[in-house]
Amino acid sequence: MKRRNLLRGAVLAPAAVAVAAPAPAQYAAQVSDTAAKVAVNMPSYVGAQRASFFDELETKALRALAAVMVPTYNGMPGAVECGVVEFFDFLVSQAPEAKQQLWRTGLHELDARSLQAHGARFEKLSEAQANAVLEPLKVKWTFYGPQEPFAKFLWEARGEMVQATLNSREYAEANTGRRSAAASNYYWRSLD
Amino acid sequence: MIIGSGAGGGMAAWALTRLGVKCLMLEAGPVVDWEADRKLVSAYDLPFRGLGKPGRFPHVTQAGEFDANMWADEQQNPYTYPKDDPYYWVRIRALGGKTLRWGRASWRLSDYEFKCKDHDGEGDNWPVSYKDLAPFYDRVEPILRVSGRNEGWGQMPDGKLLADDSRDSESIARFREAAGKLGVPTTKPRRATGTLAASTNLLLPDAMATGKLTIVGNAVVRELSVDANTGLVNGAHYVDRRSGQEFHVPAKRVVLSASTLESTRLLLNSRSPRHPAGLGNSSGVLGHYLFDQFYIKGVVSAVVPQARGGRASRTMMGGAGYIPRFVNVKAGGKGVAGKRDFLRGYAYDFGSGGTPSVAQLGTWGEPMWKALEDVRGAGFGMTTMGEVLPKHENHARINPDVKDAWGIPVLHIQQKYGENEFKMAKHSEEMAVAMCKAAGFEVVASHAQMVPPGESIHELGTCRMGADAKRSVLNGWNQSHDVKNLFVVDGSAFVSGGSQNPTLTLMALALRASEYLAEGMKRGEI
Ligand SMILES: Cc1cc2nc3c(=O)[nH]c(=O)nc-3n(C[C@H](O)[C@H](O)[C@H](O)COP(=O)(O)OP(=O)(O)OC[C@H]3O[C@@H](n4cnc5c(N)ncnc54)[C@H](O)[C@@H]3O)c2cc1C
Repeated sequence: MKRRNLLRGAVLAPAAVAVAAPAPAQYAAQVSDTAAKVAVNMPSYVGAQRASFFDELETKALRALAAVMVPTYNGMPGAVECGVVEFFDFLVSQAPEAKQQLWRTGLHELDARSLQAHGARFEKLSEAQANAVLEPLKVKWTFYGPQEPFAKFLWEARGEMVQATLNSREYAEANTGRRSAAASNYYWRSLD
Repeated sequence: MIIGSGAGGGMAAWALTRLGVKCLMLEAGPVVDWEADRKLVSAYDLPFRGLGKPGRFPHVTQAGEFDANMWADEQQNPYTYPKDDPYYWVRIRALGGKTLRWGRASWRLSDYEFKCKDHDGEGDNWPVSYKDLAPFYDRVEPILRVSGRNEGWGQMPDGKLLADDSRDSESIARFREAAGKLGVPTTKPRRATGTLAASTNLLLPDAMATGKLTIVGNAVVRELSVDANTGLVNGAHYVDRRSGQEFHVPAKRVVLSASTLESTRLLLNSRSPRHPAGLGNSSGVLGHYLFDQFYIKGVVSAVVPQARGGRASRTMMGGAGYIPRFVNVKAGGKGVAGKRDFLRGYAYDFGSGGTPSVAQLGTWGEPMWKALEDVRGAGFGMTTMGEVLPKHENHARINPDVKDAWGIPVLHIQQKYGENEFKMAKHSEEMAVAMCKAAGFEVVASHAQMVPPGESIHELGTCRMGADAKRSVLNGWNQSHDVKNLFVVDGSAFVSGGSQNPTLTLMALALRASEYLAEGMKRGEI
């Protein structure tokens, strides 16, 4: 995943940073003995996220699913461009067993149904063929969504992939050119 | 001594200290620093992009990644329920309790609730009437700075409100007109205003200013202690949430407001030879008659056709409103006449200007983006809040096999909706669809799926008031029938709940009970 703005973490006020060694007397006026506020970036700013939960075939199916379900549109990046594949590898790895199971078997089922209907894995299908495999999504809307595992997986994947795309830095930057425009809110630090 | 610092505890501290009573408040949670404990961040700077760590809050659907640290940790604070009947218990353990996050909707109950049995023969009347509580509502609303509109309807008593004279958007006006033609009353929301409407800014600062209030945070009360001779409560055992150190503090009178269910848990855990079934439980009713309001979130999701295709202007879309209970109302109330196959009634919140979900649009890929673009901001949605009949079998009891992080036995909570609620839910879906259609809106989705009990965050009952000490725990002053120096001033005292959000009422009751207690102390009676 490409990461921009590597230099955004520039120190805010160099003069305010405490120094470790005693400064010569003539520099004393420039240093402060109180801790400075230093802008620090998130780990995701540098380096590409490494996927480690899904195996190679699962990852391929997930990438193809993301591309079909949440494609680029009108100049805006889609799920793949927004790093959603790597993101879900992480999210699902952190999830309870039931969700891991749902996603793993869902991806396997995606390939199994593709092979059965079209003789190829999901990632190799044409758009029309892929859409045919996703037909279970056409089930009538209910509050909790379908309970049949494959439809449930697709339903959940669509909703969460859209949200993860819209909430990504890539989408925000493409949307407005300004980082701060994406879903922002007050984050509660741990109260302890 | 006051236990809990939320709506009920905060109100009690406010009222008692003003009358010169010295109070000690024990609060299980830490102090929240509204400035230092929060920072504005973008979703993409959070590890889960705002979706939250999966499975961290299995029972708090309201919890997101931004506010995850605010909710009571479910692992530290476990509870149990029957395998097939989940109960969603939503808690905040911090100074201010759930008032730090409440939605502020503030409606009075009426005698349709206080005297419910007189109306339809079901359940029990409260030992208070609307007339008893009205003067206290009159005083709590200005504290909360409630805005809204007085309509003069019997089921929705007028209040001391900041008049909401705002204009309706075209879509809201159209909906209200259509509802009106069907005989359904609509009004403005009634809400506490201000940037924050918590006990920590509206109640506790005034109480502290009297010099009469001492607050101890991180004090998890495990049990109330009792004088073996008199049977009266004489203090509290508590544990330091962080260090685990155990303490006891004496008290002459206790005002319990740890929230519905927590207060009951504390009383059930306070067993002694004088009170073998739990403190103040000679009736055996403690823990029983648990209810709430059932919610159907997004009972209808519609689109305003004229707002499609990027035409959702501010004059056309936006704004919100409320429909009070309008079925099974008699003369003096405003509603739709007719006999129903269910008792009581339900209310709706409605709002304009949202966007239907991708799941409701039923598409994916490019058609999904196009559909989203088309209906962005053109949505109209409603939520049902229905009255739940209090039943003895719906209850909470101690589960001695499971303990929380401080070794305190937890609750086993058992609540199920019954036939009356299911019938009412269905009716509310049909009415919501009918009103939207009458307004010319396109219905995208509708349903009658109630969320699990508890999820509405309006849990009530289990320590109910009543005139008969054999069938209730508290008298008409929120005072224990058995233990005269014990008062319980949270939602657990409710006898019935209507469809109105309960906090305003529990605060009015807390104010009334606290003043009664102060008077009794002055006269040397309590
Ligand atoms: C998201 C949300 C939206 C809501 N919207 C509305 C609304 O629009 N309108 C409405 O009327 N209501 C609403 N509510 C409900 C409202 O917040 C509650 O009704 C109200 O806060 C209850 O007051 P309380 O004092 O009983 O409990 P709380 O406010 O929860 O306070 C109880 C306090 O007791 C403390 N405590 C618990 N156990 C112990 C113990 N063992 N020892 C010491 N202290 C203890 C807790 O830490 C807590 O601080 C909402 C709630 C939430 C979370």
